[in-house]
Amino acid sequence: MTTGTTGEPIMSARAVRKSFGPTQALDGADLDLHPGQVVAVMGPSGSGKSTLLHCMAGIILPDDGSVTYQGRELSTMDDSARSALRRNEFGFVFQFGQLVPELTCVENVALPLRLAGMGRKPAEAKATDQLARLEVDDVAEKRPGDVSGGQGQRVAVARSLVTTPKVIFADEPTGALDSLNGERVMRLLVDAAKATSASVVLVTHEPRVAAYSDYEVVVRDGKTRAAVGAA
Amino acid sequence: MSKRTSRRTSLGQWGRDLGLGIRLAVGGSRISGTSIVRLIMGTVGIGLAVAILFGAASVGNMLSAHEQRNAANIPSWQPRPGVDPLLMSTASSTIGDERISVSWIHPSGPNAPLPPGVERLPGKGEMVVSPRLAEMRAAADGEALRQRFPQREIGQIDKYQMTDAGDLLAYVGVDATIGAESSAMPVYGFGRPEMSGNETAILLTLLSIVGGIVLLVPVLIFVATSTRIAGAERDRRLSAMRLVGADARQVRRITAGESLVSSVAGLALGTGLFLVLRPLLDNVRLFDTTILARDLQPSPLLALITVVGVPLLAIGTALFGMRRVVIEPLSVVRKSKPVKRRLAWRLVVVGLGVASLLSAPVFDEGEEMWTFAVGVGATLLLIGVPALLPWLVERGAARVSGGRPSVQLAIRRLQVDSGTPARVVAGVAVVLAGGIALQTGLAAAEADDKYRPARAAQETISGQVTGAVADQVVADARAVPGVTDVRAGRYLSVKGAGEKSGTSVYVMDCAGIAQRYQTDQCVDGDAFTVVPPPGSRNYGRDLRPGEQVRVVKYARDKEEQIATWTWPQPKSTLAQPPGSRSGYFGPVATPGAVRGIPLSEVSATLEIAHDKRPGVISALQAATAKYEWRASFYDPSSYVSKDERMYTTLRNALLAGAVFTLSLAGLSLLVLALEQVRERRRAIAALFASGVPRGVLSRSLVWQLAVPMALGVVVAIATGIGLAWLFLRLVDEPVAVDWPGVGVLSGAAVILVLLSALAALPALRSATRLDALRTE
Amino acid sequence: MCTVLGMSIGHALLGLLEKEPRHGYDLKRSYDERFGKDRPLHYGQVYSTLSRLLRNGLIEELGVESGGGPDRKRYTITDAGVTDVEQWLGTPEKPDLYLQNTLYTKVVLALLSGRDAADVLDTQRAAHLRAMRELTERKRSGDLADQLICDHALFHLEADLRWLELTAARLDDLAGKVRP
Ligand SMILES: Nc1ncnc2c1ncn2[C@@H]1O[C@H](COP(=O)(O)OP(=O)(O)O)[C@@H](O)[C@H]1O
Ligand SMILES: [Mg+2]
Repeated sequence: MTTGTTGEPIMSARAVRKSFGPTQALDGADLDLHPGQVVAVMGPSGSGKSTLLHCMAGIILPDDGSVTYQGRELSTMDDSARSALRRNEFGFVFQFGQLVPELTCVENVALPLRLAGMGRKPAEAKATDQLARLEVDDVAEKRPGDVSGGQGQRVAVARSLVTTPKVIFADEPTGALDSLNGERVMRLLVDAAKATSASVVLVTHEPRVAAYSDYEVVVRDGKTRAAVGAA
Repeated sequence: MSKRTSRRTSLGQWGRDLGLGIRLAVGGSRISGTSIVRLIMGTVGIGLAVAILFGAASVGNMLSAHEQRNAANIPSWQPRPGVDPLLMSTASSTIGDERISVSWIHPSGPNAPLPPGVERLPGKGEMVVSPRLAEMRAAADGEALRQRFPQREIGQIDKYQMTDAGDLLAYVGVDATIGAESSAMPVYGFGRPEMSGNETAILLTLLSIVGGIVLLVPVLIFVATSTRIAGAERDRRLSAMRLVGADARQVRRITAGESLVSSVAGLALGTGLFLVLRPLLDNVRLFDTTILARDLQPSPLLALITVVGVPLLAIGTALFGMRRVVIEPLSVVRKSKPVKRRLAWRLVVVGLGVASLLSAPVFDEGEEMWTFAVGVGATLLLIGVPALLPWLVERGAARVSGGRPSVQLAIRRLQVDSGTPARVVAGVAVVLAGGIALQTGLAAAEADDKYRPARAAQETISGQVTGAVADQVVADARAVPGVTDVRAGRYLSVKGAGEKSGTSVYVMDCAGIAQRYQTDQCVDGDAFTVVPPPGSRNYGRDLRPGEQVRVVKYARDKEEQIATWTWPQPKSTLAQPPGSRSGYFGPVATPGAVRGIPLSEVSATLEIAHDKRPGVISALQAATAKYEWRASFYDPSSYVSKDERMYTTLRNALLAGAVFTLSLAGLSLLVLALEQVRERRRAIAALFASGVPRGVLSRSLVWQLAVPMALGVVVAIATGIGLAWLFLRLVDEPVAVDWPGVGVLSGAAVILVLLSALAALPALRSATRLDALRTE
Repeated sequence: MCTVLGMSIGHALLGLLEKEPRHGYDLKRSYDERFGKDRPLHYGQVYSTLSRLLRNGLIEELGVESGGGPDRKRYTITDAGVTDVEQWLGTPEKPDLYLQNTLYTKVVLALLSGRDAADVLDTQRAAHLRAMRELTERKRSGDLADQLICDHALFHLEADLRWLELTAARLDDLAGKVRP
């Protein structure tokens, strides 16, 4: 078993603090993400898991502490640089509702490629490939409203993978799914990530989902706890 | 029996469901911000509609009151026993570019009639003026007017008895010598039954129809749009209601109850608005007509139709908006494959409109059927715009399949639901089409000389003087600073032996003849004959050389011979110079040729040349005030015809209406944009989180509004110009499209799209914040 | 690890025989493949079980093939045997109560002795997750039977963790009440 403590981390968070008004959502969180590894961020609801993920992805900036990606401090980048980083290097899967309802599934998956300047035909061809890899190419021409929750999540995973990102951020990706569909999404996500040596930050409170990770970090009351058993 | 009870319970159920809807709309502690916005917008929309409809329902009363007052002001020359006639000579001239009517009056006895609105007859040196004239005379810049009318003002005419409260009117008292003046008529009383239906009324009716549609359609669309605000939230609430056992019909009744609230509130607001705005409209001049608040009485029938119809319409709209929505206990199902919009009936509406307009010439212009055909045609054509647009937008969006991501996002959105944006845009398009039609009509009217008085003689002021004072007036006029030349001419009425109508001889000195007919042969004592240019007809007749004629003048319809005269051998014939407009054809004589005729008994027309400094005419009028009715002047170049002034007013009204309706339409667009952002909060937040630049999202919002708007503008331009063409065909005018005007209106539409997108940006911005991603 | 403990071998063999008659050796192999990866059956266990089933009339011998020793016998299920399998499948298992589970004992003892509940939880979670990762790995590479068995174990482990987490949260609540 790998504990992921060897080698240089691709990404790390150190003593990250973040508060929303009176709520101290993060109160000193640390996390190292190693290349090609899956880290599970666990903890009770409201403990600050999503906030940690948002800080690491540069969606929000921490009040204090540092988040570095490949040695670069995210807080030194401006908004458009961070947007570009998210667009080009990261992929995202959320619990639900992330697909644009008007676009067909294949168009949804092609969207990041189109934004990166790829033409429509090649982008959609690549998107179709990705959908096939996630075993949902049969719903390519349907709109998100017309597919099942599990299919929709797999389309979302396809979208997060289509740009071959270095890091995939998944916030409760199976939260709205039943066990079977949840397992399926996790298996495909982790397989695809391993295939491209992408790292995954997997926020979940379900141990069975966390079991797909290489190592775990527990957040409680905004603090990460050292993985005692791993030591 | 059982049938009756079931009917009764179902009626009771109706009432309960409506009541529940009402409680949901107003009551409840959990009423959300968006529900309140929806309620307010619905109320405001319906309020505006009601106020406009009340106003429109008052137009008939306004026109008939106007007509009655007009009839009451017509003088009667029919002798009446026991009445001493009022000798009255009325002359029209101008103040600035407005027409003023001055009546010089002298009572021939103690029992002379009083003109309507006048309390006491002015004596010599006194006058009674209309309120607006009094105001202008009293104003700081009224010095010229005070000199022109030095008489003492002994009272004002009651504005409620004037044909139009805004008219400039003066009754000036003069001495008995006016009785000798040919234009002075003995008036025995005022008031005469008036024939109805003059041209202005027809045009007004047409314009009211077009204007009414142009104003109302956006309001109705606004009302319909406002029911879409917080639509998703309402749908969820209704869904919850289905879960606890309400059936589909009950849900519809509850919806109806909800819209009933804003209808009733809107009705109250509209009535309030109408009552509050009415006094503000008092004395407002529109279409050369002054509005009197007390004439703004909605016809009872139309008011009733409004009061009953508007709430029904609102409920109908709400239910119609839900026809494609199935509220299920667990979710709201929007029938995903909506029926394809059909083209046929939309084309039928437009086709009927065109046919109706084309058929109008079958009837006589101004006839009731003509008006009807034109009105119905214009209405159908304008209604065709909102009917056609949803179809066009749907087909248009279906054709486009890609483009940049921002375009793709917008187009796909339109493919899913094009109805609402198309309807909102249709409101703008109707305004545009109506505006373009009117503007094109105006451009054509302007291009036509008929509506623009001759401006060739722009350098001269015209005057009319009685013969006795003509020489003095000419002398006084020459002394006015700025006047460079004064020429007098006289028309002699002459009759051959036994001739009934006779003809006229124009008397003018050689300088004048030389200038007017570009000849250098004239010597005092000469006579000429002016031949009409080809295509024109001489309504008088030429005199035979040596023909003996009687020179006559007319006083109070009585003919009086002042001399006999022999028409000499004319020296030559003269031709009207090309391009000249003031046409006189026939015999012309120099003063030397009419010696022996007492010219002091024949009134003279003056042509006064000046150096165009401002205020020359005012100075002239002031300098000749002492001649009272004996001298009057007007400046043809400053004189604006009633038609032209009406078109100016129309253009302003059009602009105001367009601004009003466009801003309503803009508000609807904004509501739409906000609603679309709200509905997709999560997707937007997720897109932004995964690095999609805000610019792409903002641009897609703009496209979403711009695509239907572009189609709307195209349809509007086509409809507008088509409508104008059909209109102008009816009145035999060439079509002259006012492209800059069209450009301005279309530009306004584009700006509207940008503005509403801009106003929706903060909402988009807030959606890209992460709250939407939180999963609680 | 993935062995389902407490399972009746007799019923398992009966179930395997229901499809088709088999040799004893076959039976052992089938059983090991499906249920006994970690703990294969001994031949002795197989033949003692088969003779018990024969004695009870649930199976019978189908005759001996040529050159046959005891392991060349073929067995087939009787009607009574089919009924017995049906009865067995139709009878619910008694839900296991883990009250005597060592985990429970350990946690309760740790807490009673004043140790930090969260530490116990974290240590245990790490161990549980390690086990669950292995099961997950195995499940992903295995066939349907593997998946079913591993899932069974995974759900149990998850239940342990959930219980631990809830307990820890409860204790936090309690601590909050004790020390305001
Ligand atoms: N945008 C926000 N505004 C206010 N409070 C927030 C916001 N985001 C998170 N929080 C608060 O911060 C805490 C941690 O939230 P979160 O990171 O979403 O927890 P988790 O994902 O572990 O359930 C919670 O108390 C939550 O209410
Ligand atoms: Mg969360």
